[in-house]
Amino acid sequence: MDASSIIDTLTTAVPGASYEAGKSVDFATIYVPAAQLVETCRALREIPSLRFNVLIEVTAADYLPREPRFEVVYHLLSIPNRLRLRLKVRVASTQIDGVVPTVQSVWPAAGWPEREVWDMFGIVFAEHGDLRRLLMPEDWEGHPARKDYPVQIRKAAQTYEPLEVSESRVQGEHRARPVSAGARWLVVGGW
Amino acid sequence: MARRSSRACRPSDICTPGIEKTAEQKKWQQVVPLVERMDYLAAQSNSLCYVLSVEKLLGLEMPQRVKDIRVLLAELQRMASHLVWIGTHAMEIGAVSMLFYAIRERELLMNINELIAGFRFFPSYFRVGGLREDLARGFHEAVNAFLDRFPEEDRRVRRAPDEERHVPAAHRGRRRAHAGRCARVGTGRARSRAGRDPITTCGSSFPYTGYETYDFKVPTATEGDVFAQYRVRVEEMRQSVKIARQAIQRITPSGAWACDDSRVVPPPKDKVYTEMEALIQHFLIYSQGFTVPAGEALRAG
Repeated sequence: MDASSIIDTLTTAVPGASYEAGKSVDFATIYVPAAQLVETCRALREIPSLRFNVLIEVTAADYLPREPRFEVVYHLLSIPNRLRLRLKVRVASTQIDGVVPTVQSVWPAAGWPEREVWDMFGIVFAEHGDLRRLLMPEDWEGHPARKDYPVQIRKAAQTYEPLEVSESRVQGEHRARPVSAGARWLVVGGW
Repeated sequence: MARRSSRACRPSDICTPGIEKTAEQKKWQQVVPLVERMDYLAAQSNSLCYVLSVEKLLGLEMPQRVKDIRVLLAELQRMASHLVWIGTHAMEIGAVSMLFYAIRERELLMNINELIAGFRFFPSYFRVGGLREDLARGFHEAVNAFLDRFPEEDRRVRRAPDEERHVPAAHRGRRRAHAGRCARVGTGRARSRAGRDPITTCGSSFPYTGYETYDFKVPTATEGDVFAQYRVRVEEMRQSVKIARQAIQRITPSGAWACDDSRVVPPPKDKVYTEMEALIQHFLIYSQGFTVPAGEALRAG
């Protein structure tokens, strides 16, 4: 099923939305406006001729310096109809804060990949509910998959406990640990 | 055995190697060893996905022999991966010796990798445009020797923990998965193929690199518990042997190992030494790489 026939099916199901077919080498690609994303996804899942019941992944692409800068990409799979589809949402750099809605209500699988997109690209999904970093440490600054993020940065190691252990502490812990009867021969060193 | 369950899973601070970011800075061919390091158990399955995607963008079609070698190596990698699974999995239910048998079989697969590429874990043998070079001498003997002993050894591996008693006792009725739920939350592979109304996708529904010309069946089960998933994976190894046997019969010991697109594949060495254009092409490919048309391609494994 090519992009134009999917768009025809969608336009009747979601009134008022304007879709656009994207260029693609493998399977249909459709641009969806962020405002109609959830309705569109629900239609894609429910319409019998489509039935995209699996969300394979959510990811994003950074097209710096182009504007709209980001594209959020959804790969969908229809097991009943053996179809694949690529959905794209254009996100301008002014729209990264909560313009794209979460699609967890359609596919619960979206939760973690949307966290990852936020972590890596800094795109906030509206009403996500658990938008914490997934891959990077919680206190990380910046979003590493953006094009303007340096490939290698050095970050000073942060430790909350002293790394050096004093001789007296080792001795004290060694003495304090009781030696079980079975392991005593190891400690006294006899074979 | 105590029944443990996990109701919610809230991951954070997963380690990321940042391979996408590193790959942005590399040439296309240099990404192959990177993506192989995404999975230490079945490295070549990852690079297969990658090279197929790039070849899709370039619009390359591989010779039949290259496709067959890729299928064969991908299936050997599947067995190598499943052997680690079955060995460590048995350890978790208390059968330690199973790992020893499994790793011994895996060693033979590592030897085959070493034979074709001089590298055991990450051979980087699949390249955009074909393979790194032609098959090594003795490849057929090594693969056939493995395929001849594997079904018997596979039985021995699985008999080690007394499969009839231990495995079902640990697994029956545990974590029943339903295929519909698997689709909603996005679990794949053996888990979704073992549930009621099992899901089968890639190799059969969206055939790639010539899988559609092989005779095999996608293993499924309907009980949906951990034991069903166990049986699905074991059956996958049997089907792998079946596919690999068909593939090794189709592959000639020497022949085409890359496509004939001079943008991507370096010219043969005898031409490099005798023809100026071939020498230039050789230098261009090794110093600048090649240009791939902008676009997206997905190849899910």
